[in-house]
Amino acid sequence: MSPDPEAMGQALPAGIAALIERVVRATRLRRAERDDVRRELASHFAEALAAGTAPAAAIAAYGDAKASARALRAAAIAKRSPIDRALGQMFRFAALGVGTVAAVYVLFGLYLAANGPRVSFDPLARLADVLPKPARAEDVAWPRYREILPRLGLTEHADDANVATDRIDGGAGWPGRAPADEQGATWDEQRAWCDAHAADLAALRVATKLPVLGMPITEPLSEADRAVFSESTVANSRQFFADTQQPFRAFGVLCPHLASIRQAARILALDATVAASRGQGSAAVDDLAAIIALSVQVQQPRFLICDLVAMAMRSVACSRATILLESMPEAFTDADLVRLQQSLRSVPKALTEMDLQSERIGFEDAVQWMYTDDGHGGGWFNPSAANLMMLGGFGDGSVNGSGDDAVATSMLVLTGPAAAMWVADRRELMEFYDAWSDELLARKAWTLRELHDAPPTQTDIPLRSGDWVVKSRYLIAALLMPALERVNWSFAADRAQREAVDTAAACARFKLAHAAWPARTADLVPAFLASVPKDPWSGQPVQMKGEGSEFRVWSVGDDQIDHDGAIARDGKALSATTLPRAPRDRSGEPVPCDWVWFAPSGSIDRWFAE
Amino acid sequence: MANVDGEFLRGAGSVAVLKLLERGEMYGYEIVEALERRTDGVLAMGQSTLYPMLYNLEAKGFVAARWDETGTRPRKYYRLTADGRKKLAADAKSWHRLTVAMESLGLTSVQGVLA
Repeated sequence: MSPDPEAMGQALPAGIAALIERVVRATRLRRAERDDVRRELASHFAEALAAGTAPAAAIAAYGDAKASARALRAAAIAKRSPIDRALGQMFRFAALGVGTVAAVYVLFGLYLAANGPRVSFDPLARLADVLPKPARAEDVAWPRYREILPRLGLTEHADDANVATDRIDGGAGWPGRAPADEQGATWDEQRAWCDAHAADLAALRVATKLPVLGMPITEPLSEADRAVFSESTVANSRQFFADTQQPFRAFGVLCPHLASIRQAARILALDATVAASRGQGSAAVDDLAAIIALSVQVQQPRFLICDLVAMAMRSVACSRATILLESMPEAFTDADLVRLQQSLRSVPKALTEMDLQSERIGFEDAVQWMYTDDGHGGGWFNPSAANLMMLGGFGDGSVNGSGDDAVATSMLVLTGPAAAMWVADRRELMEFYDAWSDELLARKAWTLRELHDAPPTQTDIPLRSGDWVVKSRYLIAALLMPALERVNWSFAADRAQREAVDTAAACARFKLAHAAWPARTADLVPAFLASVPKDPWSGQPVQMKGEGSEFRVWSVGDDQIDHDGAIARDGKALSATTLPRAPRDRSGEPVPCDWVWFAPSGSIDRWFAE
Repeated sequence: MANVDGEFLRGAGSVAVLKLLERGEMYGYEIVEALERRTDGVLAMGQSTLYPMLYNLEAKGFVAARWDETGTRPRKYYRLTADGRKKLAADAKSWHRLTVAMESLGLTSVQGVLA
């Protein structure tokens, strides 16, 4: 059994033992090789001492320890097998490579730490550029709404006026029908409410005709705006404008007016019903036209949320107009109906199609907080710790409020370079966004059928699928780009709904003129319609048949099967949006029916659940 | 007598070690002592030179080593291999030619070192 090499060394005088250890350690050989060297040197010195050599002399005779270690190392390595040496060489190269990469990684991390995102544009200034400018101060509607909405109880405040209006808005809103719930107002109460607010509703209708909404989108809410908005809404608005360092600014904060305006549209629909029930078709059309005009104002700016609210308001107008034409046709003169048609056609074409200009400003604003370039180059993905946590859904972006600063910063330094190299750079990201926008915008004028039959956009497929490579590379897009596939459908439905009511009004005018319903759609052209209305689901002229109360006009609907004008009750038409989509049964299957544009039976039964 | 400089020793040292081992196996300290004694210090080398040289000779297959732990102190013995003998024969011829050449130039013979 060979003695322990270390024990052998330690048995020698301290100076010699230290010399041996110094040499052995400096060889940086493998453990077994070091042991061999140690044993041999220990053996040598032991022999020298046994021969009577003084320790100091033995040490002096050894020679240069460092040179010896180098030579021993080279010689020991030479003793290894060729494969062993090759592996060792490979390991050294690999270690060198890893070390180099690690060094570059750390340097890159330091570079990123020193070069944060460069915020190069003010999104609010861009937004201001795309907002319509009033020619005169009196062209702006918002100051008027600010006075009218509180009088109508359409504010965020919990005052008596609001409570009363909530009861009105929650009522069934139709003569003879019971309130929708215990809190809802009776029909008489609703009618009385409309009468009591006639002047305010008239002022509201006038304000809807002004060309500019003028909601303070690009500046904080003012003291005067407190008349409509709650303390927290005003505070949120001011916070938005004060905290210019805050990424992921929710631009929805800029549109606190949407809820009140949308409620105003429902009140106008109620007032239209009150007017029609009294035989005042002209006043009813005034209300319906006011809803549509109000919806046009709401599309300032063109945030998608504004578009969607505007279309929902127009849907309310369309549903209510159809119900009134079907059940109270005697209230309307030809002039009233012409005005209704004009109102339906008054929505500017640009507002009836998807527009991503304002959305893009919001997206670009979020992106500029996460890339190192100024918008002209590729730039590195390099969000701050706060942004990163918000992006990952780990907090509100407040590092202090979300945990340990040091931990967050360390995570950023460790993961930053990897993320910067992996995540698509700014140019790639914007190209991806543009490709996706282009695909969506190419469909903006498509009909319901075209959209229904079309596959998802090529850009959307990987983004919404489980393709983690695309999802992670285009992380920002996956997180910030809303699923817009359905928005084009909403626009197409909006166009189709207005065309349906336009056609219904044309039929009603035909009836007034000829004391009979038209036999075919072509009969409506050109006196009542510019062209034969096309079924957006079939591409063919809409269907028409029947006499008297059996007359109806219909589209084949989303199942694209003609059910000969079969009606299905959806039970929510008076209070909510009715889109040209068949109601679903309890199992979620579409009820076999058509999308009936006009069924003037004199009854409102089809608009309510059985 | 002063020993030769390192550069010169590097070439001669390994031949000298092989020559010493021709007679039988030796351990490191023994080799150092023999070189010192038999060359009158001319080819004396410290351990810092000897052991790397022995490792190199072992790596090239000219010598083989074994540990002997039967004595009072463990010793690592080196012996000449067959390749080592061939190498020694070849080097000896080279040295012979060298010394002849040196002598023909009138330089002092170094043949005694290898005797």
